[in-house]
Amino acid sequence: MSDRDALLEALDVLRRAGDVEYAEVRFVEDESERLRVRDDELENVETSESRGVGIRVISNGQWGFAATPSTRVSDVVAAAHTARDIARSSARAGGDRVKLAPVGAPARGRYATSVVRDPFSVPLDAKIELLTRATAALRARGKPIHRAEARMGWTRARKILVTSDGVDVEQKFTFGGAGMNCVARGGDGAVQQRSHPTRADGEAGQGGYERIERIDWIGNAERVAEEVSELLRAEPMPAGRRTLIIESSQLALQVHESCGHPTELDRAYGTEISLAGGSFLQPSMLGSFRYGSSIVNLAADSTNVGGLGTFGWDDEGTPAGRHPLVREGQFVGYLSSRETAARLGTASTGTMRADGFSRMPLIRMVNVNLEADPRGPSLEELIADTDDGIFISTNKSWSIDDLRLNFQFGCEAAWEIKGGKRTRMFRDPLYTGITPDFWGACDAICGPADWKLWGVLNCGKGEPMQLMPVGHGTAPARFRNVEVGHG
Amino acid sequence: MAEPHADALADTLQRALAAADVPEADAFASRVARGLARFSLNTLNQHGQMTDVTVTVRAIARASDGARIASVTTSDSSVESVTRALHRARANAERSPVVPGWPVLAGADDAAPKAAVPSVPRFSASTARATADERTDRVTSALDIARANGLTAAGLLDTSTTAMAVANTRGLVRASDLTFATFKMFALDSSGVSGFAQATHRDLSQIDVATCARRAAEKSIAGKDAIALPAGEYDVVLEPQAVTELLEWLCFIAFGAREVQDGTSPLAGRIGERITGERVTIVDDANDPGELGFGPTFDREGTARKRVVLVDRGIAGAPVFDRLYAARMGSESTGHAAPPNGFDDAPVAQSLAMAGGADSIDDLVGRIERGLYITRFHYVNGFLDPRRAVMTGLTRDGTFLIENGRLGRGVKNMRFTDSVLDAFTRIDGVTEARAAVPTWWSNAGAFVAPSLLVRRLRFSSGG
Repeated sequence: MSDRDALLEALDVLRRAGDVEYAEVRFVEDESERLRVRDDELENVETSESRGVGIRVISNGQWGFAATPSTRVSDVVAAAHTARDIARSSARAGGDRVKLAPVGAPARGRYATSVVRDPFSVPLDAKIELLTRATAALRARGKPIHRAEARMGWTRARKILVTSDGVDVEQKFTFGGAGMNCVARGGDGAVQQRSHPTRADGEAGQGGYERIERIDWIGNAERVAEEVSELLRAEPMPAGRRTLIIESSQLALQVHESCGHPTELDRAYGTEISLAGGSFLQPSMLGSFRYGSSIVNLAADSTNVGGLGTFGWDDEGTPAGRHPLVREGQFVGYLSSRETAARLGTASTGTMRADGFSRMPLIRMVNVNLEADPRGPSLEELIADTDDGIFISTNKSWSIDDLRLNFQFGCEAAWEIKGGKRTRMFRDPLYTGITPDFWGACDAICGPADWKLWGVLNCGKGEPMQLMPVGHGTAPARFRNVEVGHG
Repeated sequence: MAEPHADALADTLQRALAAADVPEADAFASRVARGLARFSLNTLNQHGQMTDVTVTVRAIARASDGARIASVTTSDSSVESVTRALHRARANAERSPVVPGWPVLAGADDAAPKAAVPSVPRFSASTARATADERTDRVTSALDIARANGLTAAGLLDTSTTAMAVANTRGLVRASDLTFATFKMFALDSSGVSGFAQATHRDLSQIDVATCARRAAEKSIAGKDAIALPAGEYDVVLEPQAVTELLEWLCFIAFGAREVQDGTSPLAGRIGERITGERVTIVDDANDPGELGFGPTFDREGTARKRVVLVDRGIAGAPVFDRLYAARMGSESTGHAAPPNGFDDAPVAQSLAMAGGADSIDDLVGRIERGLYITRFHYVNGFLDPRRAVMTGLTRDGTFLIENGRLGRGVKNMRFTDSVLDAFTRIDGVTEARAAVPTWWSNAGAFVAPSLLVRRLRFSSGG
């Protein structure tokens, strides 16, 4: 029997049970590879694969879920019975019955990432050689470089979803990332780190090995080594209120934490309180709350080519689409599911995804993007237009409160801007603020030429913790009167 | 429901190693059967039974100047699948460059003879056999308490059973079954003021859901009409949950051998020196036979986990090691190889315990003229300046003003930014009572911490 046959058999069993109001059966198979070189040593080559089936059921007005690492029909059917039994048990706890927003015609079809060069067909030797060249370039200047690291990871996944509403879709994803960083140590024991293109995820997105081949590993390694050496000599960022220009990868994380998470409708309703918290963006504020200045436009877009939040359909079978979240500074939309959309009285924006087969789908960011200003300046022009300020780059620390208002970000490096020019470097810079005040003080966003779609590979949410790849497109932007300092 | 499974996993690994005929290899398997009842809005809305199986094998191809290594992970624990994984790992290893100084695998003889490891209780049938109805009944009793107080409850009841096994080509075989039950609850009033309480034990029957639910409700009610305070320095009482959130970050940035080798750890270059106050002793001890211990007694390499004193009355100790970092740094493995497929693959402390003192929680509150009582922190981050362990985070779910030694009104959430090493030099009270607090990255692990009185914790923004 094929994988799909086992799913259909389980779905049929659930359909025939008189008390099942809704059922979805999801097969997930994935394979991944991780490589890491530290200095000139390959620490390990790790490959992993998993497959299994997750089943979510509404019975007696409540959800039940079960997952099995087996794809044998008998095991999948047994899991279906378990999910139904759990739903019936949960109903005894009371509470509101689950309602789902209606969907249009049931989704049917296929989606696959566009891949030029399959990363799993690239010889291991070539990948290791690339990473080793990067660490050699990082270490080429000798002291004070103490440690150099380059890493690469790839995943390919296949998902099949069938539901009692008639959804039957199959999707294939290929995504990955690569990056490098180095540690410099001063004579006094001081330590600084610098990374390219980001510290956590590197150059990450959907697509093939061609993504990695576009990186100028050697040129950037030389710059990173020079900058980390300079950081050891730099002064800490002075505390005060300054005009701040934020480089686009850091702004991607700013969007992630202060727009992406608070626009998750499950958080707004309080169903994720027990780990991540709630949201300051309450449904009563839709359409009337000023989130940012009039040049701030944010949207959730699961159709961006190469985005980590791009797909054909979410894990409820809702088709991909583009949905405004903030339009000309006004809060106008949420990331939602069929259940939360029903409560709001709208249609789902299609953001339900689960981490692997053994977890329940949750509302997850797709690609949540800050739109470029169509007539915006280049980064160089924006700096030239700034008489006195700070340019800050590359995240190293992140923290925000449980309602997503009070944030603090630490970065790897900052430069003072004087008379429209980047001047001296500061170490250990951080900035802090309150979300709507901060976005309200945004007075310039760069143009489309500086807009870049970044990837965050491990956005955490849910219990047990689910890690999800998400995307954020941003262009550098300027904010006035921001509180800055150093860690 | 889940029965002990570790011996069966160990048998599978041994048979696959024999069938694969790879000269040098090890295999680690875990099977986590989790029953999870997650509730919010006074409804049990995420309730499931999930089973995750992971088998990770490593093949080592020896060379004259080191070894070539590769690992393969599969979710299929059949002998055939594990054998295929071993063959694939061997093929990948042969295409990999040599890693100098790769150590030998743990042997049957040095994997800590049973007599050397205390027989620590780790498995409870009441947790392993918990049914969906049992979870529903317990959660319902908590929801009833919230409803009776006009509050909304969120939280979870997790009943997990983990089977772990390791085997290798040097004849080492180890197996362990562990259970883990945790209940936590947030009680919220209509304005969003929340209170929090949790309990964790390997034995579900030892968890008093009603007491927890009442404590969360009491905190929510007491926190009503919270006041805002300005940024500044405050004397604080930290409950075990708040202390654990700081200890978790010390795990990431301080206590692993890699961070010490990189020079980014506060321990680097300072082992044997005073790094914090005398009231601070932190150990990693998976073999603690007390009721609070949870961790597995061996690591993914099969090395028995030793008791490691990381901070001894304020003096920095050595970090935890796996076999590779021990070889690189001229030490011995302490049994702290990271579980496969985690956030990272460097050695990591997983069973931290902070020593208790002689105080009661009332003693700590009574010593504060004006300060804060903090139930827990939210979104702590320790990457600002790891050498000084500078961390930032926010208060959450039960922060109260202390005035003249007495608990007072609720306080709106505030952000602290401070060096935890410096803050721990200003500890002026430690409770004798300690609590187990689950770590958020672990399937079956918790830290143990007392409550602390810390003088002059620096808050960088007010409520």
